[in-house]
Amino acid sequence: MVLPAVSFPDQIRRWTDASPRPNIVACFECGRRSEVPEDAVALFCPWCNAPIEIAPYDVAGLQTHVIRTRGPVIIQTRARYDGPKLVAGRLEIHGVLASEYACEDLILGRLAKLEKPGSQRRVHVMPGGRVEVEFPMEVVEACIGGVLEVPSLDVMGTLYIPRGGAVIARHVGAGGLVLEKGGRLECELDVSPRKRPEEPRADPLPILVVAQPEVGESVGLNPTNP
Amino acid sequence: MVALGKGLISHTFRIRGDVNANSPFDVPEGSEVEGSLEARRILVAGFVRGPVSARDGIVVLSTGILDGELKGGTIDVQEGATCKGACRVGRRSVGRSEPPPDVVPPENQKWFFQR
Repeated sequence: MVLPAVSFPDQIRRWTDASPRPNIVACFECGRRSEVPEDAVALFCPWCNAPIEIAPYDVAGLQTHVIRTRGPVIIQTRARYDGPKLVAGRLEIHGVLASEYACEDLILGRLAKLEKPGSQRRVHVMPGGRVEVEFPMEVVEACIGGVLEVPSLDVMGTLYIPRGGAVIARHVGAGGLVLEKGGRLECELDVSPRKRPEEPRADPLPILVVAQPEVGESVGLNPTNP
Repeated sequence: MVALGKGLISHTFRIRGDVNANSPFDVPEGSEVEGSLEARRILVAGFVRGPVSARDGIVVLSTGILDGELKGGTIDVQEGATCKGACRVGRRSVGRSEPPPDVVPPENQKWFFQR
């Protein structure tokens, strides 16, 4: 029997080298997804014309005003975001996030602190970090390079724990699990087949239908009264 | 109790009882083990019910079903596999041949609180 090859470095590289700029964004109003042009800083939804911001934000002090972007947001060390629900594409936290959040990728640094629950597609705890979360987390994919203490962690895809990483939880559910030598996992484990949600794709662009006048019909005249 | 030396089992089998192998141990697809399983490295493609302990690591392939307490140095559960039970995998979960380096101080090291 041949042992399966675990391409762990590739997995880590995919996480760390990922571009913070989104390729596909969802509209805040209608929820449809569209592709982002290469040099765009903002765009309008092709379906409902609502503006979609993709500008990056850098929170360096105390910030309370709303952040709603599909671009990257970084909360620096000793910074704190305490505003309405934060929406971001890639959310990197080194300080404190005191509000609810929704993002695609959540990256937790060494001193990250989450005070309220949120939703994320992927979570990554940076090596050397120790993050204590007081609420259960549900993600599609997780890579825990630091220490994550959480009541329960549910991963639809694969949970990766590289060397130096640790997950300490009451319950961990996952579709797959890779734990490298030097990693740690302490929990009640439930790995079972799950349906992994598909990667987001851009919806087909709307087709503009222009009404053509019929043959023999003259524009501007009433056909019933020639 | 089944004790294995360095031999490998490559056939389909069904074991009811404890297995203690001083070598890598594979549970191929279609095979079953009901009882505790202890080996250097364990690869599960069949069915195992009972506590599993592997010093080097545990690999559960997509066809594998594992129901029991897990202890090992590393673990790799492929998507599609089923694995349930208490899990203590990683540092200090299984007896090692050499202690981790952070536990043993250098001989000439003086502790701060040493008088």
